[in-house]
Amino acid sequence: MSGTAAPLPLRRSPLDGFHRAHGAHMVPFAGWEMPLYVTGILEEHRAVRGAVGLFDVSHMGILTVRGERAADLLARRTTIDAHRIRPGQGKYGFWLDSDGHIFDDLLVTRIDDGARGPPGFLVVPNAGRADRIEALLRMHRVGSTEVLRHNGRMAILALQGPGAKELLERRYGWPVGELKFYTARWYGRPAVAGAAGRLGLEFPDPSGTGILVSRTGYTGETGYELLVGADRATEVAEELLRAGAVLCGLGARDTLRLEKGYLLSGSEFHLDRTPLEAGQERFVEFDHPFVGREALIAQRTASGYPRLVGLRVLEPGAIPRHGTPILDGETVVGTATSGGLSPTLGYGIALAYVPEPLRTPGTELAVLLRDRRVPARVVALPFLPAHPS
Amino acid sequence: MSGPLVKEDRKYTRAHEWVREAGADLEIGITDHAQAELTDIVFVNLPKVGASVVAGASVLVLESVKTVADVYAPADGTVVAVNSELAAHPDLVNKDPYGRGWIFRMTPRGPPAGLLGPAEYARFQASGSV
Repeated sequence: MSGTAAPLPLRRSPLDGFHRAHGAHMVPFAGWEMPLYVTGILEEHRAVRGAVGLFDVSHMGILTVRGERAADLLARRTTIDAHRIRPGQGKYGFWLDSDGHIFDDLLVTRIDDGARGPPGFLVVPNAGRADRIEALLRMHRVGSTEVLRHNGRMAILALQGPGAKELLERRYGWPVGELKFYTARWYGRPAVAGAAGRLGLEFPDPSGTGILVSRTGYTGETGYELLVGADRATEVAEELLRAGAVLCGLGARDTLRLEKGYLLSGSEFHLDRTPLEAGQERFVEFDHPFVGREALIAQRTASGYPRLVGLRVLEPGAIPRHGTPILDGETVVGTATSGGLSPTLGYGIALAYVPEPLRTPGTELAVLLRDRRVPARVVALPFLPAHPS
Repeated sequence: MSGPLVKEDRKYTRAHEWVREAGADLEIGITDHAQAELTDIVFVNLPKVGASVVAGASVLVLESVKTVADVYAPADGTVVAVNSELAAHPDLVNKDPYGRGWIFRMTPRGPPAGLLGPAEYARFQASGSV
């Protein structure tokens, strides 16, 4: 029922003591000990959908890559053409192997202001892949490109939900409404006020008060990710809770992302699936050279590769899980990569790779739950559409 | 932080169920440790009253947000009552695992074997062995 003990000592977030003081249920996750929930997964899930939740995601890799050739390095290694990222802009994409299989998904944000010094990028891969990605970036860097790892010295707080913007504006007076989706800037840097204070390579902020705020997240709600120095992380987290945020764990993060059809490293991919199979072609910038590009082009021109689809289980209380077999008639055609009860929709949902002809929404399939066949239907992703705005 | 609650007035299984004597019958639920590890219970697949159960065999399935778990019978016997409140309020298993979150009652054909006392169970849940 519970996980087995990890053989290596688990890494701890700068917010570890904060979590324990708030009574979090801690679990091992990707080499870290992180909160699974604080009050309960469902309550935390609803807080994010209806109000505002606060997550500690300091286990994510926190890397910077800077130098005149930094964009060359990132563009070559990822599906993102880093040369075309504007200062303050972030892009989501993939790190592939030469066969086009996804090793990791990551966010690359340009943090220099475009005027002073060389280009610099914040690179945030998954916790379980960060050590390898750091090593590969160092191995492949050219010239004076600098690769730094900031885990331990920095924390990432994700403030997510329809109330996130108002909370930050009210608590800190920051006009975060100005941030477009996938953009970032510093707030609270008195020493470098004005345009020069919005972006800059200094990382972490030398004044000690600056917080890099990025309008990004993994919940499908309006939200912000805050990069803050480790020594201030607990203070900021407590301020956000006092201002009305509900403290959440990784359990709710998982149910929230599944309702939106977002990929989870190790579930939807572990060097076995391409971005095309995962339905993520929009995050592949084909018009630049990158590792895995030729394999993707070959796959794109071939026909009939498997596709990631959403499945809705049609029987109340029947909940598919990671590994649940998917049936077409009597034939097993795949297994669920993620599954669970959608707290918002109230029925079982799953992601699964199925043969191309079965990908069409409306296709009637089944899931095998404890040797029992339960009807399921292919549905369009995301399971939960965006709020009407 | 205090650890999960263990009640003195009942016995326990190595599968993290509690067993309380209620006259000639046994009342069964899951422990505070079990509910905390399972996370929010969202569906309790209650057995039918009158169903025969076998010691060590699954009687029902609990579905939580994170996972699925069996609840096993502590003895051979017959189910005589189920907590039908759990159909609409499965979260009672989380909120009050030793009280309103009870799951079923059974009439055993003989005394249950191999149960742990409260102190033994407290050691078992902390260390994985007695």
